Amino acid sequence: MRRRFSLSRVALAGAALTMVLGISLGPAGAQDATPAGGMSVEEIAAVTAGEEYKLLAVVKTLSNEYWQTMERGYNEAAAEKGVTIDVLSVPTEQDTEQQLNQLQTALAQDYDAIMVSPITPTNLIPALLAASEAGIPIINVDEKVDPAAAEEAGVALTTVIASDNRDAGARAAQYMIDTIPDGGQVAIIEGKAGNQSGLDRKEGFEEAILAAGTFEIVASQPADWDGQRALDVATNILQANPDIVGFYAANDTMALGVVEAVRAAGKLDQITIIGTDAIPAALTAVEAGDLEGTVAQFPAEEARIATSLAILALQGSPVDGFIPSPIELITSENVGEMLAPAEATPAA
Amino acid sequence: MTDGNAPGMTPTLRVADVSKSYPGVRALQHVDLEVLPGEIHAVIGENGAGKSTLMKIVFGVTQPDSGAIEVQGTPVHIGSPVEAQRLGVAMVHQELSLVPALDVARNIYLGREPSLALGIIDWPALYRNAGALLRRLGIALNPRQVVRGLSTAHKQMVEIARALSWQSKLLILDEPTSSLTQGEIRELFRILRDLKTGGVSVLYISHRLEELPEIADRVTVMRDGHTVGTVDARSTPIPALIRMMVGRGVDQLFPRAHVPIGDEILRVEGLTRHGVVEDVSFSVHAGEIVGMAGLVGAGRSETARLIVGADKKDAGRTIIDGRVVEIGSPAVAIAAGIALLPEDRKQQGLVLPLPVKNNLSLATLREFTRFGIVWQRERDRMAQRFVRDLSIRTPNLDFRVRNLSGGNQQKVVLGKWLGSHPRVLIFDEPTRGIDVGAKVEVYEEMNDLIARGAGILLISSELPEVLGMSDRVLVMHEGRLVADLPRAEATPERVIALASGEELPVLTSAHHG
Amino acid sequence: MADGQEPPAFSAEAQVGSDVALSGRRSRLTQFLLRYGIVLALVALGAVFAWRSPVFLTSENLLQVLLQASVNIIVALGMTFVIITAGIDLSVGSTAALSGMVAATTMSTGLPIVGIAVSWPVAVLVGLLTGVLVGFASGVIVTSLRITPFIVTLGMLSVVRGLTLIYSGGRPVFGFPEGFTNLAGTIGPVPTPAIIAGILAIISAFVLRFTRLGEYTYAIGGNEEAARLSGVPVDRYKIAIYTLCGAFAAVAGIVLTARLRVAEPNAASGYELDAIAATVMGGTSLFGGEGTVVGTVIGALIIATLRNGLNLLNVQAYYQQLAIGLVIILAVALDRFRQR
Repeated sequence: MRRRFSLSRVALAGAALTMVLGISLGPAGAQDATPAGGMSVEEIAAVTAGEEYKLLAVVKTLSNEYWQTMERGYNEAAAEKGVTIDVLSVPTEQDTEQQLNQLQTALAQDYDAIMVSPITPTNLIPALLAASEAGIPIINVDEKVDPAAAEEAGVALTTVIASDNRDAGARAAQYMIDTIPDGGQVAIIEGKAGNQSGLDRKEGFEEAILAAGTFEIVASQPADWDGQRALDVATNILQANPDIVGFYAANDTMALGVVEAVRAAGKLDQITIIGTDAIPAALTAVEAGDLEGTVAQFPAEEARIATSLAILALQGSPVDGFIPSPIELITSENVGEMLAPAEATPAA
Repeated sequence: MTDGNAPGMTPTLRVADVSKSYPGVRALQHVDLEVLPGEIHAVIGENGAGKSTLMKIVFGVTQPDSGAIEVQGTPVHIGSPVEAQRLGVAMVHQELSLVPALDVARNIYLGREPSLALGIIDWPALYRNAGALLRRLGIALNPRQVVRGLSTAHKQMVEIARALSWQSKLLILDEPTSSLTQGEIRELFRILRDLKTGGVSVLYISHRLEELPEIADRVTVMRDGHTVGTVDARSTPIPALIRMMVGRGVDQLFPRAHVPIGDEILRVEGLTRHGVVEDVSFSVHAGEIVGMAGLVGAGRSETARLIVGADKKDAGRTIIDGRVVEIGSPAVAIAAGIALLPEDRKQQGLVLPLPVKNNLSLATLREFTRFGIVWQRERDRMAQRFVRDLSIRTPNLDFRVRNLSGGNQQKVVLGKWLGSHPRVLIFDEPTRGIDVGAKVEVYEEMNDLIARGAGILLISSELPEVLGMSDRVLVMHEGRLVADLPRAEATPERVIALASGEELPVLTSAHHG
Repeated sequence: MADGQEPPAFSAEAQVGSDVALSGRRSRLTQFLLRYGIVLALVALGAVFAWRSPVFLTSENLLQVLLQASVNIIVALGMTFVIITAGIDLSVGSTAALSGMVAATTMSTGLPIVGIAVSWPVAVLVGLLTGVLVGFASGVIVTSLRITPFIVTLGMLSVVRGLTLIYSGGRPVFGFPEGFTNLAGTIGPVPTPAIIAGILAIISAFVLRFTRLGEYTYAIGGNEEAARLSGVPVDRYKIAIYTLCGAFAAVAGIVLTARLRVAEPNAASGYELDAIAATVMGGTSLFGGEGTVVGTVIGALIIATLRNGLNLLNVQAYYQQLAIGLVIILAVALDRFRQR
């Protein structure tokens, strides 16, 4: 833990590291992690490069705080580990083809390894194939490349590091199970229809909450990641189901919309709302008690681990398989740690 | 009857006792019509007389309520234009329907391209066929010429070629000459005569009575949904035709009233827009109608647009009542008392989806506006007045002008400009496509305007109109003013020669009196 | 003419034909359906939901529908003006986001650039001004560069969203005074946003129907060249109309921010499509020259009713997209029918 407290990482240090590496890796790590040569995730994260590698990182879009944080994570990791990292991004999450074009163009510039977060599970495959054929190690970060499609195309992914979105949903469910002993009616606010992360979160929540036996899912409706839409959808769901005890929203923008719907219905005290992503506004709402919790991911830490994984691959000791990235449910009990640093963004 | 078409031979088309009603109106009542092989048969009548409905029925656009149609002696039901074409009936529309971006050959065979296996178009065959067809019709056009750049006349010829590419027995032409120059009309007539020789029948709708003796064999006159009668085109005098059409006599086709000519009210000097209008100078006096003749594309409409500031001029100045006025936009022109009734009323004169009253007030809305709010009652009163004074036949002031006839639409345009109290009115093809009765009304309105001290610039492709109504005749050729003739010196032959560039410019004194 | 005399009447016997009546009129029933078909669609939709859900017809739920339609109504009002001119404004969603963001940051950190703290109504005005400037810019580009509005505003959609992200650093802004969030409260039982939307709708209807701006809006859309030749300062009015549209988008963005109590850089994405859908469903012709405020409001209510009902019935996400799409196509089909 010592060397990780480099200057630029003050913010991350307090809250994230302790929880991430201490708490959350416990259960998650037990499932999938296959540390190479017996390295722990902590050890992986701490790897530094012996030589000046030139790395490329592809994130989704910098119009989203989550990816901004990840970009910052890459920049910090570059400074910490003594490598060069160029970060690519596209204007919106709709620009799947542009992301592919960018990556294809960039591959001509002789990067030693690439770290990619594709917008969809398949949009980067042609470029990844080229990288793969050129023998460039590929670290797949956060949004998973479809494994079947990758194999079919002949793409060899060196390591995958991604948050388990099903686990995120499950954690929200677990919180409700723990805090609402009598169970009751709950509802899910979904993202845009057809989005994989949103679907995983929804299914993870469904599976876990139904397993408890005391809960009933009375509605599961899309709000397209939009705050106002979530406000309206939650209001409508409340009209039809006034006895609801809990809402799970697949992201925080929507969760905050749900908070306003529940506030307007005068039921903030009676209804448990859990969001996902731990954006600052959501953390503030958690602190205020309007939002009960939000499932945090730590993109900066993820970027740092991804950088380490790239370095390990270049040093000839690649880590194979899947590494779950850190995730944590933030509630009123631990929100203080997240908000403590000057800049209240989740991992910076 | 004529040209050796023996009575008793099987007609190409026979329409017998056909009636058609629309909700609230009987468009056709017991209409009969017979077109013989190789006959050019004109159908005339005022707008609303039922010509269009009859043509729509023959072309399968709409179906009659009762009556029978026979094509080459066989009773047929024409359910759609495609069926009509299969039966050998083709139509050339008044509003041309070509694809501007495609070339002549592709337009001719659009949708029916000769193709090889797998739907691949046989381009060589397409151009070969088109070339052969155009040659057969005597149309001097390159099949690869893109339609966009063609003149109206040439576009129309492409339409005719397209219609005939179906091996048509009957060709329907809806006002084919309304936007053609004299020379182009001659060319069209030559093609029609060739077709006639080849046994093709032509159903010819027209407003231009004076051209009928030249081209048509017989004329069927319609009025108020009835056929009034069918007469020989060559032996029936025009006034008789008019009487049949309108049910009354029209004393004069061009009822020109002469009033004393007053001071100069408009003068343009050196008006230039490079490549379009070059150094045009002339003047218009109070009480004067100045005609402007020329071929299509000679720069007449363009000159009008420059005068009112609709287009930017490169040089020249405008003098109104002796003062130079810089007219940078139509709004300034209106304020200065100049009104342009544009050439194409649908494209430039009217806002078709809007009601009559809104169109009538468009140029003068400020007069009815206080604090940005349009005072409806004042506007209604004005609109009511023009509807009454100009005899605009509309059910009410809220009726959309789109649904008015051409003549009434033109009166709405006129009313719009009369409301702005113009001192100089530029009429650009004011009677194109409108019927005789409405034409006379437009002429009478012109008389009235000059009687009250206005001056008029009359741009027209109809030479009889220019000669019949003007005090002076200007002639343009290729963007330049080539003559400014007193009425007495302007013979038809001379004007045509000047307009076509066969006679050298005679512009000596541009500014009379 | 110069002396103001009236033109004399034409001879009275010049009665020719019945040209007006001939021009293809429709039956009374068809006329009625064309004018009120959209209302019937709304009623039918309501009937289906009332039948399937006991909650739908409660006054509480109906007020919710009104509330949920409000932001879209406000955006769509501006869109209606623009579409009547045969234009389009694809940038309204982005403009709403930027205006909401500017108002929000003004509340939290003071006036832009100078940073002087101001009260929330001033912040709202600053937000409004932002929308006005965006609309003005679109109008100026459309008229001066003669680029079609579709392309100009497609560009502006991206430019303005980019400005929002740059200005906010991609971060949401929250924590507003209660006076501001009350903009999304209720007055009596009626939601304030619905009242705002209602007032703006009435003003818009009045402007379109009774003012010179309204007349010229229709005239420009019906035939721009004829309007120009009739002395209408077309460019100036177009700029005014895009500016108005930007202002409406700004109001929507501010109401949205008050509703959500947070200004998000990505807010209101895709709202232009909802607004266009409402406008076109309401019978405004994309070809210009035709359209009414009442139609647009009903169009927006149909969308809100549809979403509300689908939520009440807990219809699965994929089917919701299907249903909304079908309703839009049906409405556009109605518009096509009107063109005939």
